[in-house]
Amino acid sequence: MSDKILIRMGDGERIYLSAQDIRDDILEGTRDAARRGKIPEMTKEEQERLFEIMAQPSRTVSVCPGEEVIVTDDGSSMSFYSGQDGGGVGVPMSRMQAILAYERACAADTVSMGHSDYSYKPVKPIINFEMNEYYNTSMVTTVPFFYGAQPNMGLYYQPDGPCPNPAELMPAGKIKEAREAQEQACEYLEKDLVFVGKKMAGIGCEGLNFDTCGSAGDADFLAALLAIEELKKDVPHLPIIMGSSGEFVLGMHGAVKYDGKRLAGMYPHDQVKVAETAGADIFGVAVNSNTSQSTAWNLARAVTFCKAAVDAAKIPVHANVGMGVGGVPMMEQPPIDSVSRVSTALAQLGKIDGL
Amino acid sequence: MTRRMKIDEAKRYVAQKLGVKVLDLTNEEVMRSVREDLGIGVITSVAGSPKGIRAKMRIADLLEIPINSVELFKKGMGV
Repeated sequence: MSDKILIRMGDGERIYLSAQDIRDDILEGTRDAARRGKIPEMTKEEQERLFEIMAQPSRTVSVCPGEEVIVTDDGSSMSFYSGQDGGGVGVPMSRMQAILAYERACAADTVSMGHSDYSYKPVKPIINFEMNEYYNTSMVTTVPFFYGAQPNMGLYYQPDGPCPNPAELMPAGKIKEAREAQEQACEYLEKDLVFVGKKMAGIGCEGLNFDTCGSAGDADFLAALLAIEELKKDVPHLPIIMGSSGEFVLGMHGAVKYDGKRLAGMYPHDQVKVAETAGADIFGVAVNSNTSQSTAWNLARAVTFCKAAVDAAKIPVHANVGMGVGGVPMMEQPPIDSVSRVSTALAQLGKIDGL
Repeated sequence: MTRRMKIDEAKRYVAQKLGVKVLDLTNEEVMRSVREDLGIGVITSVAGSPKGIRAKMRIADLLEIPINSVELFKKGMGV
């Protein structure tokens, strides 16, 4: 094996690194995750296996037969018809056509649909349209079919929403007011998540996806937990995926708690436990990629966080893998060499149940 | 997901219900005929073969799992 190995940086740039440099990056990446999350580092054997995955000369890398995992998604079929800002290729198709093409031509394990904005707030006023489209499509899909969107609590702040904006209040030193605004937005968001969930359950929704929970901070994460808890009381047979937005919950509020635990600063192995308590059926771990580090560093870090979450979880864990997440470089067209290495490593070493 | 099973347990469960080995779940040669024989939908389009809700009804029955769209359909049909 040549000593110079082709690899990518977290921004997608291709570079050559020596075998030792890659091994060093893997060690530093796993140490970074272990230090931050107070979790075990990858073992020497796991680090060496990760090196072997990264150092493979072939363009794509994969798992052995029997090691395959399930793929769920956050509206992947939108990639057929959406534009560049949605990561899409702009082929004019209906949502149903895109979903069926993804199911049948791409042999998807599961499929999903969501609002073009992929947020829950705009779904509420057009809920009947979404219910109709979901129902019609559910009659022709064969694989599990989710309805998904993101809580995106930021949409509840002025000027887009009714609540004062913490991003303006905090720099003005109005911390108490900023917290109150987040608490109010959290209530509105929880109500909307429950509203949409119940409506979709009423027309046979096979599964709900709350994607990127916590993107607006700990109050956003809390709203999703409370909504899951509420939904599970009324519709216990509605499977719910709760996906996170980052490796730790941002403390925008700083003091919100769930089940007696402060949410701010939680890493995936603690995030999955509160998701389980709330009643989530699948948890999505998200680990953000650092564009200044190599994919070896980023992937070692992602594997370390995922392993700890899987060890802690009683429910299935699906790693979020995409642009800038899970060890994949942050770029518009995630390269297959990186995506396949990430998928292989997370399945073999992270022991995830799905992607 | 309806039983919150982790992947290895889920594979064992499905394989047992379908009467195949776990390794065969991702063996296209085996699964093509299993899916056709059991009426749970095949990837290529065979006119008149089970797809969509018809296939899902068989899947729900075989795997003994509740699928919400199937439950709603059956309720509407008075089944």
